Amino acid sequence: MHESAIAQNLVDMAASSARAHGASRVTCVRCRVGTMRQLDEAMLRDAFELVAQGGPCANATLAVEQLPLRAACVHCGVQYGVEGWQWACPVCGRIGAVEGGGDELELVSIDAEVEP
Amino acid sequence: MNIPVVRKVLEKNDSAAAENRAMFERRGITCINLLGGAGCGKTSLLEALLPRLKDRLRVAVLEGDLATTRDAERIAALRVPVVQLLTEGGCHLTAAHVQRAMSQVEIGQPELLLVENVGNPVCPANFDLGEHRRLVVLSSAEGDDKVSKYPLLFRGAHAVVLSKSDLLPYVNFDVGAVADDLRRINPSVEIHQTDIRHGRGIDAVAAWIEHVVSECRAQRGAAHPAPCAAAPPEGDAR
Repeated sequence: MHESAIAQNLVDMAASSARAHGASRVTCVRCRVGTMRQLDEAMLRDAFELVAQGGPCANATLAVEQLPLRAACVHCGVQYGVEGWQWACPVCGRIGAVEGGGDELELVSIDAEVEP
Repeated sequence: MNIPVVRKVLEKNDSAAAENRAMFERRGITCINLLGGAGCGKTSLLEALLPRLKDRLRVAVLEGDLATTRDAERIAALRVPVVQLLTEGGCHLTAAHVQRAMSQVEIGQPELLLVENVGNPVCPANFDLGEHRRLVVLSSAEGDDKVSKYPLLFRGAHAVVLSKSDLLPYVNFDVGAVADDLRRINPSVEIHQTDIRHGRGIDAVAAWIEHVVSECRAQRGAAHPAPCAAAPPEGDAR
């Protein structure tokens, strides 16, 4: 349910970045989301489409890059992403330690056009 | 044209949270954000803690809810200053909610502010309120798989209260497995167990809270070594 608040922030930030560069129409918004944010991508897209209506981000595509929680194996040193709470090291099968990540929530870049 | 941006999506909330942190420092307030799913026992924990805390500290409570003032009424019955925050359907509290509540006169000049977030294990974990610590409540009735289902909530916790331990004989809740999951995702987390009906485990949680207050007080003392009179809260006409 936090998807709508996040979509609103994305649309506001994309629109203000476009304006700051003299552009009037946003065609693509790229964001990075850690898996721990538990954002439902379909719900985020619906919310984005809805809040973008009537503004510079209307009809813009939303590109979402999902990032995993990172772990490192304490036994063999392998670094791996934890997805679906699969903690075991992919090499030796033992449980690793959390390294970080998975909580990213960033607007990365936008594509924008100056309308004639 | 491609325009690189790289900004945090929740920067608006983050900057309001930073303002709250500065306000808490000015007013000498330690703030604890209480999180957990609906019905995990956050309000009951507060009801058990407040009689122990209110004689030793000036305490105030913010009650976050989608609707009704029932929780605030339960706290007010204990003669503790309380402000009800209604999100009107919103699934989480934001730093702006706390900002608005803290300008209300009835909140007084607390040393300890306990904020009960909206009952929801997902969304509130995303929104920094400017709090000093996060206390997460997980009841045995919810099941022992919840740490893995809501990792952001438990990774951000400073302490976790495993509540309703009186129900353990009747439900599938392996305390050891939950503690393992917690330590895996959050090695430094402090774990408590409570049984409100029989008054068990509450003193330890109260002691943790008092310890947090003195830690924050010591940090403020180190940042501002000269003792000074407490500043009146903003918006307080007294």
